[in-house]
Amino acid sequence: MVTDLRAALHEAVDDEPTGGVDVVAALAGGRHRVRRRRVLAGAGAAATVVAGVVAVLAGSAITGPDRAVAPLPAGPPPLEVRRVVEFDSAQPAPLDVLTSTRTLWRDPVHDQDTDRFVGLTDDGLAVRTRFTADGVRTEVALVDPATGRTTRLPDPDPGVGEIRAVSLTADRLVFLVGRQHYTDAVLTFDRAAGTWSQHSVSTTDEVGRFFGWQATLGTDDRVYLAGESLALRWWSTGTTEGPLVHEAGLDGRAVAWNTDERATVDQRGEVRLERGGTTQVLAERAPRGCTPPADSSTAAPPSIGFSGSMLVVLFACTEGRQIVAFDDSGSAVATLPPRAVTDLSIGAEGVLFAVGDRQDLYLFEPSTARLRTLGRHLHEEGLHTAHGLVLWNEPGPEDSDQVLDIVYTVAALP
Amino acid sequence: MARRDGDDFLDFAAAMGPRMRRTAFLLCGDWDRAGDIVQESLIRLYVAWPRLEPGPGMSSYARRTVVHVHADWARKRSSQEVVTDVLPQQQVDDATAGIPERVVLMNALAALPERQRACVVLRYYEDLGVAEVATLLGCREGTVKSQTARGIGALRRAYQRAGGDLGVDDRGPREEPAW
Repeated sequence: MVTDLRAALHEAVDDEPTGGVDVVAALAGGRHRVRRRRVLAGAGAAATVVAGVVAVLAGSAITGPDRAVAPLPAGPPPLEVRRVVEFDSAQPAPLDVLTSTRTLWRDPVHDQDTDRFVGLTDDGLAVRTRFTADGVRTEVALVDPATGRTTRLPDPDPGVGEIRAVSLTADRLVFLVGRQHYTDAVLTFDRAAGTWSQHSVSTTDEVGRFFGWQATLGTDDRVYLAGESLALRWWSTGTTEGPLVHEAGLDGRAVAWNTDERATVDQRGEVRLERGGTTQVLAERAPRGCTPPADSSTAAPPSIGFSGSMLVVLFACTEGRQIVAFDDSGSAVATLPPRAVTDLSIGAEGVLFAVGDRQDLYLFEPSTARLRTLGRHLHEEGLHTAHGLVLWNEPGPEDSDQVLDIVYTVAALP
Repeated sequence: MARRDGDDFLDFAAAMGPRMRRTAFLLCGDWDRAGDIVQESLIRLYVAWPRLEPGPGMSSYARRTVVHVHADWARKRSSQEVVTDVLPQQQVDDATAGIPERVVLMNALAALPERQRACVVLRYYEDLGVAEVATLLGCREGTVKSQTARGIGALRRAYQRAGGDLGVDDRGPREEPAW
């Protein structure tokens, strides 16, 4: 028997208990909150006026009337960045489209099969996966975008559903497998041996959701996971064994690894670079023009990554997210104004990112401070860059309210 | 303006509150918590009341507030949980075997990531369009479609494990009182 989803959702609330919404109490609560805000706003304004008067008087007494009133001290100074690259300076970058694949769901329930590129290896191959919902089966192949040659890998175990790339190198492919009921897995393919290994990880209610957000491989060969919560809580597990362990020391920070270095940034904009047992603070605070969000639990989190030997940081600001590039010596050498950056990939080629409602794609090269517009728009999350290639997805020709049509494309950068 | 009066707010809240509570229940799976979510949502709605234009936008604002309050509280709840250093590594049994259909649905909904669950509830309980859900959740339309489809796929697999199947009746939404 087939259950209709709409009917099931409505029936699920049929036994709604009585009561539960006290509109009079809500009105009283709302009035109380409005009054409290007015009082706080008035107190804040009064405090500002008093502080301003005191500052003017103090300034007059010490330096005379011509001296401007200094702002009140507010923590460390903003990060100074050598150069600002404006968005309107972006030059078009003609892309050489090499290969694409497409997922088309005309029926929202029964069309569940996917065919997509999930990432790029650091030796320049695209990882293509085909997921078949009936039987829950995933096939994986490596595609050479230049020649179109496809090498199908041995099938992973049955029951492996849709997979997500964590680290794709010439030696090894590491994926996450999201499953039902909080049993997830790290799936690894040894390219030399041609064999899969799978490490199942049981998770709990909260951690189960962690596979939905950020995942990265540390140089300690552990997979680090942060959940859907914007507060960036981190857990890690080995690639082949071991339970999930809470990484409390990383909570609230974005993290990236590069050979023998680990870099982190927190919501306030403090950037740390750890190398050989020493820690260098590259920034104590976000750049000028970037106001750290008052409530970090509702703002887009910061991001960080290495582009070659340069460090790239996306500071979280109320104005958006601000990209800053640091050179080998730790100096902030170039930045872009804050924008609503929604998706990004940081690789040797630079920072590939999507901006704004139209999801315009840009590539920022930290080593040259050059900004290029790719003239493309992103459909859903999934940007990758490696080995002079970019991978993104766009709406297909049938895409509509009722139809999901996504085209995944790999192109070479000029 | 009369609409700004407390009586108008009470009329609006009385008309919309029950449906907001049902939506909140589908998002959080607990009637008591759903009631709390609606209380907080109505308080926020009252604070915003002078800025709201009469019309469908008020309903959209109310829905958005329910989703946001639920998400805020879910985050806060998770951050207040006692964290253990090591999680037990044990197989979790399939909770959907041999249990009533409603329990299958609620368990499967609860197992979805927050955004997939919100997409399914807003698309198939609230019967909102893709663009409206995208605006409400602050994401791309493509994301709404793929998240919705993935959520439905997970629900369908849960039904199949329990010996049933799940479909979507495309004859259109059920009749519901306006709110």
